[in-house]
Amino acid sequence: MIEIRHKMYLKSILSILLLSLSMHGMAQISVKGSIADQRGNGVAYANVYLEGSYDGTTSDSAGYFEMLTYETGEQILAVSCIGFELFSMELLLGPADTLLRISLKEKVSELNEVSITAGVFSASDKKKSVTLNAMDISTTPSAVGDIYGAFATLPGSQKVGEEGMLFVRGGEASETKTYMDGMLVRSPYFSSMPQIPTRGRFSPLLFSETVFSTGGYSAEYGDALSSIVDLTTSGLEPDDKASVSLMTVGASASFSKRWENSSLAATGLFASNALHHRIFKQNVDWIKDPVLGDGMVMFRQKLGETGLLKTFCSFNAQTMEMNYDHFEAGTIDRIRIRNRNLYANTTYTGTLSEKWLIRTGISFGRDLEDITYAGQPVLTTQNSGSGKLVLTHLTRDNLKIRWGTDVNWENYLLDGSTDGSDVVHMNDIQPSLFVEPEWKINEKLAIRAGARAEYSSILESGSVLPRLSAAYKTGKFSQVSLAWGKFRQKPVNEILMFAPGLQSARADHYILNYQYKRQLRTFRIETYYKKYDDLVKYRVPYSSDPRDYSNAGYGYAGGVDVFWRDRRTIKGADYWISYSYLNTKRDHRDYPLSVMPDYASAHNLSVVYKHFISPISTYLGTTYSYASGRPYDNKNDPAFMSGRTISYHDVSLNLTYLTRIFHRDCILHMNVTNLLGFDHVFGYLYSETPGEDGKYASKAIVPTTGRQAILVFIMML
Amino acid sequence: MKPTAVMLLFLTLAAMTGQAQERDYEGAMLNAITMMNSVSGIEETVRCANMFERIARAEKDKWLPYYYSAYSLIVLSYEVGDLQERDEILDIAQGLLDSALYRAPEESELHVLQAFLYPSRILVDPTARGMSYVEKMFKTLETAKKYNPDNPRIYFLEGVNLLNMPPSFGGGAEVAKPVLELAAKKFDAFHTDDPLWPTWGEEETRIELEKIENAVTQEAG
Repeated sequence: MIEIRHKMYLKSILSILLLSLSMHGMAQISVKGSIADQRGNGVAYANVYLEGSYDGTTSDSAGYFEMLTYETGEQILAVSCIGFELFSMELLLGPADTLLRISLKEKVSELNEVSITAGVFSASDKKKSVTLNAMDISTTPSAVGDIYGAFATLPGSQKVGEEGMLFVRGGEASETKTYMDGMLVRSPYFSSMPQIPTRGRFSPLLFSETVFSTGGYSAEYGDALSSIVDLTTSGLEPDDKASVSLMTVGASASFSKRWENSSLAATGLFASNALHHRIFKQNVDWIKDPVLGDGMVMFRQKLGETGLLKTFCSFNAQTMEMNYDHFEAGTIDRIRIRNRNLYANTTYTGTLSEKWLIRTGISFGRDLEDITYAGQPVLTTQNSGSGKLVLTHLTRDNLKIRWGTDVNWENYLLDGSTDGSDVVHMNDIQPSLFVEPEWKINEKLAIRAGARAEYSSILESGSVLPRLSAAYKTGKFSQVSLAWGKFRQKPVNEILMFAPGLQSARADHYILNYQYKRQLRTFRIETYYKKYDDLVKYRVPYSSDPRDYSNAGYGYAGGVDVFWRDRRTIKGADYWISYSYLNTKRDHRDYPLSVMPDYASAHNLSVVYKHFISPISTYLGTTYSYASGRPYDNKNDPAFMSGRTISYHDVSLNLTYLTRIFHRDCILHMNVTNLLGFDHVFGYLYSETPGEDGKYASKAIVPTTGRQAILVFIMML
Repeated sequence: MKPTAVMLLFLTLAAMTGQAQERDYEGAMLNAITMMNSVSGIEETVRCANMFERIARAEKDKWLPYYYSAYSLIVLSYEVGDLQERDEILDIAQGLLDSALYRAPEESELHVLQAFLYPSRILVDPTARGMSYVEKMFKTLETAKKYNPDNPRIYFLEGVNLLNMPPSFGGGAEVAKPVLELAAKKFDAFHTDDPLWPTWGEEETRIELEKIENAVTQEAG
């Protein structure tokens, strides 16, 4: 009896269960549809899912998806895909299938999209557009570890071997300004004797990113007619490291220490050319071979989530003395140069809020150049300082606006007497303001427009300068860029001190370029035109009569630069070819008419090849440089600047051998310049007085030595 | 008996009116891991990685689903020829790994996975990235050691990378052998109750040690 009732209970329970099961309909329903971007193109590999459940699927190459789920009722459907904002919507899942059409909003990021490239060579490890980084510079043979020497192998630069400074697209060396972390560096080159090339003060190994702009640069920079070099120092040191190095030109030691959120790095260098000059005979008469002492400290501190504080400080002291063959005057003059230079800057980058980024800094520099020329002492003291503030407003996803202001202060003191009676003192404060919106109209087109207002207190004048650049992506790996802008630069101090009433020189740039970059290969062709006005003219050089000076000079520079870099075709090798054609004329200084200036050459070619030879753990690098003849003024020829020097050819080589000694990583590096011993003639000097035959004697300006080599040994401790 | 049966009925009904499907974390993960071991090619691997990512999003406190999501993409990246694509895949993998690290910053396996990611980046741009990523990799392995010095995969990665580095950089078979032997020992000693725990590296360690042995006997013979 009891069993039968029990069975009936069970039966009713079971039937109720079955009934409720069928009411719930434990069947799968399908949620399907398509996923597209704002332009209607299908988005592949998007992850479509119901929040809180594992159910979901991946969209196919056309953006179609179909997922099956047991879920019912109110659900939230989400779609996540890289490059897009997270999408979510409320859904009511019923018994029937659900069909959806979903549109994803793009997340505009720095990495993918088109970027302004006209006139700019930008290099960093972050961006995939690596053109030149610290390793590149250190391993470019003709550069001999000099940043500016390495830039000289890029298109747009001219070979001016006796100066060692950067000459860009027909502009003088002073038309290129150097910045470090966005702060102006007044004296980026070491001091040097006449006709002896100088080099940059800073080691390329300090910088993680180098931007070399050959024109049309951002409104952030001013007071430079031709180009900008902006060096970004590296961030936090990754590790504790120490190393010592021994060279044929000196010795150095460096160490770095890393804490959790900060790091400190310091380097000391002592360099002397004494040994080098004994081995490689110089054709100049050194009384005291150049000696240099250099110390550098870098401190980094992470502040908060995104803030970084960077402090850089370098001090160097140089001494050198020679008997200078002053050919023009027919005398031998004893020149002694003693230079002390201090440069320090502190910068902070961070985010103020979700929409505001800040970049700010201050810098200070002091340079004391003590020259004794044929017994006459001249002491030049330059104090400089700057403060800068740049705020970037991320107004919208595709629009960001940079607001900035900076103040550059310069104090110049020239004391050419022993009793303080002949002193030139100049003070200049240059405030400026700029605004530069950058608008990514879509993934193919970007425009950057800017305006810069700058003022110089010593010139008592200011100007408002427009800048414009745009880039259009012509294909997945290629783009076209253009740039236009107006630029001004005040006359150099050596001229301004005689003629303080002079105005700034002006230049208008027009640049167009095409770039193709894919899989470690880069091709670039750029054409430009620069129009110069208000260049400084003087009746005679070094005249102290201000009436001898004017801004009546003018000129133009136009040309084509071609660049090809390939790090893929030859396994283990990296090479680049850079060619520049330059057509330039100007009427400046004491020129009687408009001609091609003596530091310009029509054709410049650099071929750089580097290869890591694995079996012998050696990096091999070689550079071939060519420049067509440079103009010079032959005093014996009535036509001005009609002479042309021989063409310039140079082959340089470097070898870097990696090994381990006493369980420590060691590097042995040798750099040979002018390996094939070509004759180099940079120009000619003419004597001031004619000889008995009425002709002026001449002397070729040549390098101080022919083939030379430097040997460096580094040991990591 | 009667009340119990009615209670059973109510309980069953209550369960069914709630979620239609209980989330079976272990079941879903085992499924996905099986799928991961059988996929090939970009499309299939991304589907698998997305599957793990969905589990990760649903289980707010678990790092393992994100781990496998990133792991499957990193393994894929080593096989991708197109360098731009490789970098893009690794960007996605890094994002997933970062999410995992956010949930479990002191988990040794995650730091090992990070160290596994770095070498794949190098091939995209060897001259620019070689030195810095090798440094990063060894430093990350040190971090992994700090959190669990018995994790065998640390020594496997260390050994296999030393093996492939030229002797002048501090690598080579002689240096790698003791590290791989240590890895093999640690694999033998490694024991976990979690059926979802990563197991890769053991077979590969054995293969690499065999290769070294064969090379030695070839030289001797």
